[in-house]
This record gives sequence, C-alpha cells and structure tokens, in this order.
Amino acid sequence: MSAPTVATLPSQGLSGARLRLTLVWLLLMLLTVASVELGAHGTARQTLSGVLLLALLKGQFLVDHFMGLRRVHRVWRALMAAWLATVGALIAIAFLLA
Amino acid sequence: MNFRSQLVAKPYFVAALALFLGQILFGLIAGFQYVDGTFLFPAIPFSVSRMVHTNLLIVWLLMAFMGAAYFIVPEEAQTELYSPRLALATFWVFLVAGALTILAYLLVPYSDLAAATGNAMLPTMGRGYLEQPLPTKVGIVLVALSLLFNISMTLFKGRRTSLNVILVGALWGLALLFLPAFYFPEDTVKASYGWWWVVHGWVEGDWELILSALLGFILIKMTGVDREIVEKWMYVIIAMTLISGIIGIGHHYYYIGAPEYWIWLGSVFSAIEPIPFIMLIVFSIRMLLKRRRENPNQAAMLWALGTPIVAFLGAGLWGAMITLAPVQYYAHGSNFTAAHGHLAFFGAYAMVSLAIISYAMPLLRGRVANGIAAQRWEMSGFWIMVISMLAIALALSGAGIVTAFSQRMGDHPLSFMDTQAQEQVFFWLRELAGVGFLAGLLAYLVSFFVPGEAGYDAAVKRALS
Amino acid sequence: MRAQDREALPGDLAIWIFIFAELLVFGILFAVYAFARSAHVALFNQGQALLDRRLGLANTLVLITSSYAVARATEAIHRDRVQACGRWLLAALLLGSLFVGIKCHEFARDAQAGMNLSHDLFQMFYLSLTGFHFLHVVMGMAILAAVAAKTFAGGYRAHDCTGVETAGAWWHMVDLVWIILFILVYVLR
Repeated sequence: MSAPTVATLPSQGLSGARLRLTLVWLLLMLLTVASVELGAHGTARQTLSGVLLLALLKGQFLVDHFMGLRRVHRVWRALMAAWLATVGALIAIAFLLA
Repeated sequence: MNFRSQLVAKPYFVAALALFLGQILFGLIAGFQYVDGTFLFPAIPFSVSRMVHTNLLIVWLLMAFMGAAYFIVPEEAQTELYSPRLALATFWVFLVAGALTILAYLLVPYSDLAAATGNAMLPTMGRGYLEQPLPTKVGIVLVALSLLFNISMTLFKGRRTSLNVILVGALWGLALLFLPAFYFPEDTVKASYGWWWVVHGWVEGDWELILSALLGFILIKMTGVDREIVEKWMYVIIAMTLISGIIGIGHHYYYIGAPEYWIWLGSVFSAIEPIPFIMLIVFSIRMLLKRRRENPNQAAMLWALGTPIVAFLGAGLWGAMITLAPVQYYAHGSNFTAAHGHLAFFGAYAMVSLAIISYAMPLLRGRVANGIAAQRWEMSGFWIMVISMLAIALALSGAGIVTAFSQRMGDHPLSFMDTQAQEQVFFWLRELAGVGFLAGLLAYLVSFFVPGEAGYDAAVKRALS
Repeated sequence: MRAQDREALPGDLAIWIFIFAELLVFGILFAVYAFARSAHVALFNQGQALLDRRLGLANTLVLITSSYAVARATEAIHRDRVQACGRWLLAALLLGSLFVGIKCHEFARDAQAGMNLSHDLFQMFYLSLTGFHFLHVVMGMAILAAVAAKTFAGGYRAHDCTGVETAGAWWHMVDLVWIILFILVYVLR
C-alpha cells in the first residue's frame, strides 16, 4: 500500500520532512495559544471569526501534514476541507443566530 | 459444502421458508382486517392474526440464523460439527414447540393460554413480539443454549477465523439479549425497558453483527476476495454499529421515563445509525468489483447486494426518520412505525436469511448453483418481493403521515376511527402490495422445484461459446 | 503535482471510510451543540464559566504534541527506522495517557461542582461530547499500544507499514475533532 517514495529520497529531503513536521507542530501550538488568548478578550460574537478561522486553519494543517493528505489524491484532501468548512459554517451560522 | 455435518442446516432452511410463507399468509389476513374489521371475526381476531404474523417472523428468522450457523461454523472452522445429532434433535424440538405455540394462539383464547401455562407464576406474556407462553420462552432459551454449545465446541476444536468468532459471539449476544423477556414487573416503566432491550438490542445491535457476519461469509465465498480484506471491513462496520447502536437504542428512553437528555442523545445517535448500513453497501459493492471469479450462483449475488441496500432504506433511512424526537412526538405508534418495521425487518434480516439460503441450499443439494431457469424464477421472486415491500412501506408511511396530521396536530384533531377511515386507500394499497409480495414469495419458492443445475463447467461452456 | 505522482492513501481504505463516518458523527454533534446554544445563550455562558479553560488548553497542547509524535513515527517507519518509530509511538502513548489523566482530573472536578447529565442542556452537551471523545482517545490508545508492540517485535518495515499509517490516521482524527471541540466548548462564550 505505502509507496516507498520517502524511503528512496536522498537524506537531504528527509531532514526536510522532519523539519517540516516540527515546524507544523510548533505552529499548531502557537495558533492554539493565540486562539485562547483571542477568545479570552471578547464575547463569542466578537471573537467568533478569528477563533473559528484559527481552528479551521489548524485543522487543515493537521490534515495536510500530520495525516499526510497533502500528497495523496486531491479528493481526500477536498473531503476533509469540505468537512472543516461545513462544520465551521454551521457553527458560524448558529452563533450569529444567537 | 465441505463437511457432511453441514447437511443439518437443510431442515432449518426448509422450515424457515415454510414458516415465512405462513407469516405472509397471516400478514395478508391482518392487512385485510384493516379494510374490513370483521373479516374472519371471531375465529381469528386482529390481535391474534397480528401476533401470529410477528411471532412467525421471529421464529423463522431464528430458524434461518440457526441454519446459517450450522452451515457456516463448520465450514469456517474446517471441521465437522461437534454434534450433528444434537443439532437435528434441537431442530425438531424447536419446530414442534413453535408449531404448538402458533396452534395455541389460534385455538385457545390468549388469557386461557396464559392461565394454562403458568403465567401467574412468572408473568412474561403480553408484550409485542414476546407474547410466547412461558414454556415456549424456556424452550427458546434451551434451543439457543444447545445451538451455542454445539457451535462453540466446533469453534474450539477447529480453525478460529475472525468471521467465525464474530458470528458465534453475536449468537451468544442474541441468546443473552433474550433474557430480559423474562423480566416483566408490574412497574410499567421497568417492564418497558425489559421489552425494549430484547427487541431493540436485537435489531439495532446484535442482529446487525449477525447480518455483517453472514454477508461477509457469502462475499468471501462468492467473490474470492482475500479473507483479510473482508474481515477488516467487518471490524470497522461492527465498530460503527456498536458506536451508533448502543446509545442510539436510547431514542425511546425519554418516552419510557428516562431524563430529558435522552431526547438529544437518542435523536443524534439514531441519526447516525444509517452509517453502518451505508458502509455495508460500499463494502459489498467493492467486494463485487474486486471479485476474482464469477460465481454461477447469480441469484445469491443479487440477494447479497440487495440486502444492504434495502436494509439501508428500511432500517437506516426510515429508522432515522421516525426516531428523531420531534417526529416521534407526532408519529409514534402510527403506521409510520409499521412502515419502518416492515422494510427494516425484510431488508435487513429476511433478505440476509434468503441470501444465505440462496447461497447454501444449492450446495446442500449437491450442486454449485441452480440452473439458469431456476435462478430466473428466484431473481423474479427477488424483484417482486423487494418492489412489493417498498410499496407496502410507502403505503404505510402515507397512512402514518395522515395520522400525524389529522389525528395529532392542529386545533381540531379527528378521532382515531375517523382517521382510520381517511386512511382506507393506503390500507387497500398495502393489501394489494401484500398480495404482490405473496406472488414474489411463491415465485421464489417455485425456484426450488425447477430442475437443472449450473456448474462451473456450464459457465465455462457458456463463456467459450 | 500530476495525478500519477501522488501517493496512495496512507493506511487502509476501510479506516478512512470509518474516519469519515466518525467525522460525520462529530460534525452532527457540533452542529447540534451550536444550534442548541443559540437558543440558550445565557445558560451556556453560565455553564461554560464552570469550566477551567487552562485544563482544556493543556489538553489541546498535549493532544497536538501526541499527534506530532505519531506523525514522526510514521515518518520514521518510512525510512525503516523501526526503533525510532516504536519510541515515537510510545511517546504518543504517554501523551495520550497524560490527556486521559488531565481529563479524568477535570471530570472529577466537574463532579465535585455538581455537574451531571440531567442538570441542564449545557452540562448534558459538555459531558456527553467530551465523554464520547474521551472514549475515542481510549480506543486510539489501545490501537497505538497494539501497533507499538508489533513495531518493537519487528512487524513493520518501510514497504509494509499500513498498520502504523492506519493507527496514525485514526489518532490524527481524534486530534482533529478535539481541536474543534475545544474552541466550541471552552473558548467561544
């Protein structure tokens, strides 16, 4: 099932892969703290767009890099993006209705 | 068929089909009593015809499941059945007990039957589907224990495939979930729970596992796809069944008397109960596309593909619709529920039984598959039955919707009988569709008497010509 | 990237069907929560005030780090570094236990504050959402443990690591769901 493409890459590319994962991890941690900070400074209505966007962004980073859907057939990544977008939209509508 | 002892499945399958025919005949009687309330009164009042209809359903499905177990477990374990003689004796005990119970329903007033069978000692009678007198209920437990002993011993002495473990485990679950049937306290709330857990523990949980195991077995055998792949699918389907089913079964708890949060939990988790059925559809179609060989038994393949689709419609879609709390508030106990019951029981459990019978019976009769002519009869039967059952479900849904709007909503609701009068057209349609279903069943049964067989030789000849 | 250059889906197709089914379930739960909130804003605000945001934040960071460890484990097995893969899986497992520990502490705290399913709508949603997610974490840890054991036993190689990828895909899904759950329950009020 798993293509051995990564294993056959030169070692230069490998440290690149590890570096990429680590950077994504640091970014996700940062965005998490940022969204909490943002959420603490205002009501849900004021901070909704920022907090929600940060969360969806985090989700897509996780899907692309940790789940590794960046490199597979577009359909799968699109499905995940669609899930994030749908959930985000439903939450946004509900919060704006409140 | 590789083992002689698998032959014991044959009487189970034959009896299951005979009881199925009986179920349909009583269904037609009960259906006609909707349009003419005095039909056959007082010989067979509606309460009796309905009870015989539903009890025959349970008995024939159990017969078919047991036959399937006696057929599959030795095949999967690669060894003879532990005791074919015990299996055969169990068959006769079950058949005679079942027949006597049905006769008692028909010949003795229910209250006299209750008095004569010790219901005062340990009250169990009177709840829908569980009307059986105490001796019959005890008999069912003993028959189930005999089956479980037999197949578990077979499993232990042979090869332990995941599919076999799932099937035997699910049959244990079936027996254990029957035990709340003996719990019928005077407190109606507690009694409702006991009833609920038997019927819905079966249909929303355990029987779905049996369904996946039977389908998995048929697909392994017919498509030649690697067992590993089939079993992996079975695991995720079962996980999803349990995730949705265990909490989803709570869609009625609030109405029994549980706290309010069950409205939410029950609705949400019922809404996801169709997912395992969608996964079953994807699974069967994928296995069919990945098939490594053409099986000459096309009829069995049709059943195996049709089962998850009709099950999704009946159990999944109709089930999810009626279990949403706001819908249930208006439609509870109306013919909308009956529509779901009919399509779900047929699509999920009757059809998978017919699928395993369709696969196994030719083998039990010493051939790879029936001849082309017989398969044509069988496939005609498939389509007529499926279409008729869809028509029944639609007609009953129509009646249910009328009930919700005329009798339960609005400022000037109609009385029960006035509403029933408004629904006559749907009851006529249902009865007509029922006659259609009987015709389909007869066509299906005819296929067993059409001579001729198709082997791989015939298929090869056909392909080369 | 051209279509033929793209890699196969990591892990087994069946697990991806399962993952999407689970995402659908959580998606429905999130939407139901959000719409229920819109009808009872004051009640939800009052309920959310009982929660300690710091515990939620800590758990989010723990789960993201754990997900990172699993991503590293997958990357390691692709290079045939069996021992490294096993160690990263163990790290993920430890972080998973940390999540479970913090969450249990939080549940105990909630119980002391008198929270229960039938008290009000918010508490019902909060407890069942996080409880349902909690069960997924426990199940994910069982899968990770099994895969880690097989890794140390030498059961996976670069060309044969579907098991690691499958377990990883499931664990990332558990993380993804928590990211949304966290802002919904703890942050937005």
